[in-house]
Amino acid sequence: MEYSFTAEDRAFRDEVRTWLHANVPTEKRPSEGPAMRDFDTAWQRRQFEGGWGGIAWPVEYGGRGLSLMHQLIWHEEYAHAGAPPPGCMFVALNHGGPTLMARGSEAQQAFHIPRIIAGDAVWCQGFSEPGAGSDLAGIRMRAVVDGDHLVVNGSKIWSSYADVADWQELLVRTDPDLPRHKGLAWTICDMTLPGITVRPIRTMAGVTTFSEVFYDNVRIPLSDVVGGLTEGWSVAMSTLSFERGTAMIPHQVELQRTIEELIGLAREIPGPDGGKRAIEDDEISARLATVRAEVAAMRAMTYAAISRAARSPVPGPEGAMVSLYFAELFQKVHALALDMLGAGSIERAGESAAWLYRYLDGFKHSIAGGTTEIRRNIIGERVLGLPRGAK
Amino acid sequence: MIDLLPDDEQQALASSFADVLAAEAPLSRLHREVDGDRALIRQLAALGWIGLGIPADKGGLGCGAVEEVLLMREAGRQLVGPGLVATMLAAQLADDGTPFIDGSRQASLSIAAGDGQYLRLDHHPGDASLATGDGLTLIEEHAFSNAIESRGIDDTVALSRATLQVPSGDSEAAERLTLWTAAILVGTAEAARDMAVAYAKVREQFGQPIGAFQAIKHRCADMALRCEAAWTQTCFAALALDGGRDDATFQIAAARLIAGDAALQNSRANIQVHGGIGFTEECDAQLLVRRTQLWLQIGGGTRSHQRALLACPAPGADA
Repeated sequence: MEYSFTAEDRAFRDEVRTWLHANVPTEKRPSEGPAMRDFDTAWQRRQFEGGWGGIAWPVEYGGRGLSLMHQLIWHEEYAHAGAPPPGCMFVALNHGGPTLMARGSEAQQAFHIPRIIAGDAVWCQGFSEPGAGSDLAGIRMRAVVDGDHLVVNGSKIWSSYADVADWQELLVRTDPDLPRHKGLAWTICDMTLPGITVRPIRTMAGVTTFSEVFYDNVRIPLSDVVGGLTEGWSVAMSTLSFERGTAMIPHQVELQRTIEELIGLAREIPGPDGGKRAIEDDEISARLATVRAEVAAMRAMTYAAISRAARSPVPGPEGAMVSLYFAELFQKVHALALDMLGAGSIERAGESAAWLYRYLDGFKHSIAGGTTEIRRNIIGERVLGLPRGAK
Repeated sequence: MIDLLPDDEQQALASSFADVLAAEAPLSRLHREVDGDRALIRQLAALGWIGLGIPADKGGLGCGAVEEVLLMREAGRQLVGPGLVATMLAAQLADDGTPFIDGSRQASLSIAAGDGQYLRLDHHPGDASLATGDGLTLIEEHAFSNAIESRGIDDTVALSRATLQVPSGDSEAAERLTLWTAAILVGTAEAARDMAVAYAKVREQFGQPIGAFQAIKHRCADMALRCEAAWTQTCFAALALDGGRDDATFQIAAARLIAGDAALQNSRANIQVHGGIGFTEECDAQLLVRRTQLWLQIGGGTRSHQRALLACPAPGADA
């Protein structure tokens, strides 16, 4: 076991800190629509021009190919600098790009990867369907080969940023007679193709960051299919092997900042009984101490995940543990914030507004990217070896 | 370099801790005679482990807090009596630790219970004792007065009550006790997890192993998650202590809180997973609950660690 930084690590941290300090946008990030797209792509472009466009990406794809240690330092400094989230660039940078690197043809890589890393292309995901949520292999949307095209009909849902995306990673059923995980194709879908309709959906937090997408005889060139017409499931899963345990770092650092902010707030505002400061309230202070300890443990869990990644080329199922822990901790922290704010928690103004927004938006963390129930199944079955069975 | 997993040498050490304690201290011993694991502690002394964290020039093995928590985790898994911790701390605190290191003397733990009253755990005539309270103080038996035998929550740990006046003690040693307590609680939380998972794989109802049901599977997954959080935090805290880092106090308090919660919730959940048999005296599950309640009062209760944690400055990114 070890926790130490070399002189070179420290020099790297200084370099990152200096660059971020000079380049992190100071204006507020728009929460939706074309203004958000412009903001997110401009920030990606600026990082790319500074040489930070793809810190984990291999050098051959224009990335920086940083070691796990330097990725960690980058993410920590990134969060401490208050840099904005990747926003609508997320799917391109974390799914589309890595999947093409793992399984795309040379032509697919040559076209898409430079556009992604430079912030010139926004991607969205087209996996979930009204009838295929947690049970993703239950995808029914059909794609039929017609000449040198796939003809696609049906709909996808919960597609984040589809309203501003140029491309989509789309999972479709090409052969309904094959076993569920076999008859799928993973294809690149040009969002400007005729027959595509995007209907933005408003979330409970009041923004339209995801959409339902309808496909009416959409003709996708077969050359956009990645990895073969019945290889879609394995292509979709290949993205996961790109993740080396670092994905949760920004979330952890950000949540740690949030908790420190909350502790600071508790020293200022009156407690729920209106008398002494909130921090002097026994229940509030016990809950603050608990979440402060838990976010410390989340940091340690993240470090353990990186340690495992450094030892094994294949990511283990333990990754489900950190994301489950994060989801529940995030929600716990914001529930505490609202309790602390008392009457202020019902007014969307001033200090309360941001806490309220994150409280409402935070419900997504236990649903998106696998519900906490599915994550518990993964831990139960793949970490503990409990039998699969009645769901 | 960040590595929160044991290296080869630490792994070998952890395996020998696990092997020896599993062989010499099976939980079944706790259904028979209670001796405060005194014979076991002498055996561990013969292996040199009582002086694990003591410098080689003082007769120890010269290891650090990381190796100590590896031992404590296994001790927690096998519910080794509190005399082990007391004797190891006595060896570190005494002017001459030799009698403790070589196994010729042992120590008990005395927990401040208010109004000058102390609860002594597994105290035998002639033992030294470590009094917890405002820091840790190593005392001799004659310092106690009005000692009377009592009964504890845990019949496998002998309890007596005595009066004692002690000056404030060693706060660094108290911090080490908090870290070790965290590691012991992790071991107990892991024992509960393993017991529940093993049972869920073999116990069948409605024609299938109960572990196939999400109601049980998710309970077990939560137990695993608590263990992961508690153990990784305990390792990180041990590294902070060994590295003399500013945030060591913070990390240790966090480890104790997370591990305490893990042991408490896991040991309770384990009984529920076992159903009727879990409620019986013959089942090991109840031992884990009792012992957890005991450790939660050693070295300060949960509330005092919450206060200590909130009093610390926030740890920095590269702290």
